[in-house]
Amino acid sequence: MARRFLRVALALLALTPLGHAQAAEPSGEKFPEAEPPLAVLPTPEDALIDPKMARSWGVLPPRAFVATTMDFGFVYLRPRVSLGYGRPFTSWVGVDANGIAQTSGLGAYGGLRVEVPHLDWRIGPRYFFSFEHTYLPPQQSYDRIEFERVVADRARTLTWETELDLRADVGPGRLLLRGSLSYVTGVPQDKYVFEETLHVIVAPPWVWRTRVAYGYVFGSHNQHSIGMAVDVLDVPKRDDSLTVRVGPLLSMKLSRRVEVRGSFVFSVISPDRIGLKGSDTTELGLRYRWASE
Amino acid sequence: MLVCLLSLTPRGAHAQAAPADDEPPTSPVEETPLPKPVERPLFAPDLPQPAKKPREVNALPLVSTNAPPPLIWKWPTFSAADFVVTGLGGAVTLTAAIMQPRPQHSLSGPIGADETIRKALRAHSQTARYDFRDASDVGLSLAVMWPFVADALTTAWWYRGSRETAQEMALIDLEALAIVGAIQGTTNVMVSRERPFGPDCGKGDLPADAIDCHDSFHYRSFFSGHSAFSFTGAALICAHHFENELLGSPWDGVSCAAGYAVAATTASFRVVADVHYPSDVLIGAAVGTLVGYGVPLLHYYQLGGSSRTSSRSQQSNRVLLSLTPSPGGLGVMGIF
Repeated sequence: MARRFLRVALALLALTPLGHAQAAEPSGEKFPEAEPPLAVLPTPEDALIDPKMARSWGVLPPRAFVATTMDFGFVYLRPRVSLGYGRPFTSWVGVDANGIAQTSGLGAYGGLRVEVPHLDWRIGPRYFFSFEHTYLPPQQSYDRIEFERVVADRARTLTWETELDLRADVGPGRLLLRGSLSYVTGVPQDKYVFEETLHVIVAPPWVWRTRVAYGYVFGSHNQHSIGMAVDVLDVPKRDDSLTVRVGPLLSMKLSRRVEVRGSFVFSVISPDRIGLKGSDTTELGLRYRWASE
Repeated sequence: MLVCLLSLTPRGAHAQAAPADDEPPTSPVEETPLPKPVERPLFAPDLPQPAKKPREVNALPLVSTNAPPPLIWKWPTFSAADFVVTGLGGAVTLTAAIMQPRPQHSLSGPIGADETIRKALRAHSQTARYDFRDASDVGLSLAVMWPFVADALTTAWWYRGSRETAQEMALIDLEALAIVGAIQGTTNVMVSRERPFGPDCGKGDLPADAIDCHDSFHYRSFFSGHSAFSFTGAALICAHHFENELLGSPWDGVSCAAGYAVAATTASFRVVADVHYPSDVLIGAAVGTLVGYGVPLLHYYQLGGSSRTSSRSQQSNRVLLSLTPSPGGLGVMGIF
């Protein structure tokens, strides 16, 4: 049975239209009448931004697709798989699943996603197992020494989260408005926990966050941006828990697949004094994207 | 050996600028119509030159109309053996990070001037030490990511229009970091030296239940990973800038010096933060520099391969290195 399945799979692979070894870059200009599927495996060429940014991911007709996004840097790895219908990375509906590997722990997220121009919405649960931090005894605020103690079991959290992004071109750049609401579970009663992806100490269950970011766009096709972000977070069950972070964001798209990303959003107002652990500086690295076409 | 190689680098032998007649159009892609074929007689030196041959989109710098000519990668590409070495290095690095250090400590306490320097440099409070530790993390992140993000992707690909150069540089960087990670991680686990703050656990402002006093972190002093990785990054910056002339003088020199400044600051902060002895960071700096120069130079000097564009004149002023069997192991043979 397994051998038969393997034979069928290999035959399908061999029949893949435009077999990946010979596939050309199916950009909109070269293939104005292109119809999916063009290829299942990555095409060999990954040209720089083509003249009119007519990328096949955005210009081909809507279809069922599988897409991957790999974020990696020092030291984190976040591979994401998306299954959906529509135009990958542009206008689609489907499911996302991603793993999270970083020095502080391991995690995984899965959920629903809807993306259309100017709007991106997702909802789903995220599990995280911390290598470093334990559940914390409730306190008004924490300093670094109190934060980095082994006072209970290693923290494991299951966070249900929904996030909405709104984007608009404003002046010479792009404006991003983001709102998210998180419901943190899995924490013992009378304990707080450090939420490793929000970078904030939480009195469960609720956390909300907003981000306002503006990026000046540049490059021959406005494919790069550099700007500033302001984050505001609050944990309703912690008194005086408002956290404000400010800092620069960077994005450089070198091809439709490769992007350099940097995020250095430092905490300026916080009830806690936990140094960089309380900042969103976890991203300085690359993003590699791919989708079936 | 490798230090000697540096002084032997034949400057100008590998000028990376494309020939003048191979320059890209000087305006963005969409504003540059493809040239029409021009028929010309065989001998017509006074006729206007035909339109320049268009380059592939992949070789266009996207930064500005004044961008320098695209780079051309003239050296052997990353081989299967390189991928194996990189994979093994990564696997050993990961394994060493997960493993606990040996219960027997091959090295403990300060050596030489360690204690004197430590007392002079150490921050006065635990909170300040955490701040310096954070700052060293930022320095490490910058030093390690700079060769990928700034040099390979931004400079070689975006600014100089060569995806292939960017890819080869990034793979060489990855190989060097994997090797240094394997060496550092293995040494960490085997030597199992206690951190300088170790004897202070449970005393003063460092509680006994601090994460630092638990787990394997406590016995990973020798040698400093922050120092080794930062200096590897700095050496990679220097090697790639000088060999590829990424930005041209004086900016290649400035980039190299900045890389070393960040690495030195990062390493120093590890002593100020009291997580390493000075001897830990010095050994880390030496190993990082050795690997950070050694790996790219072995590639640039054609270890086990041949240059794509090698010519007799180029070969004549190059140093060729190859791995050869030697009594008790493997040796590097150089032809000067």
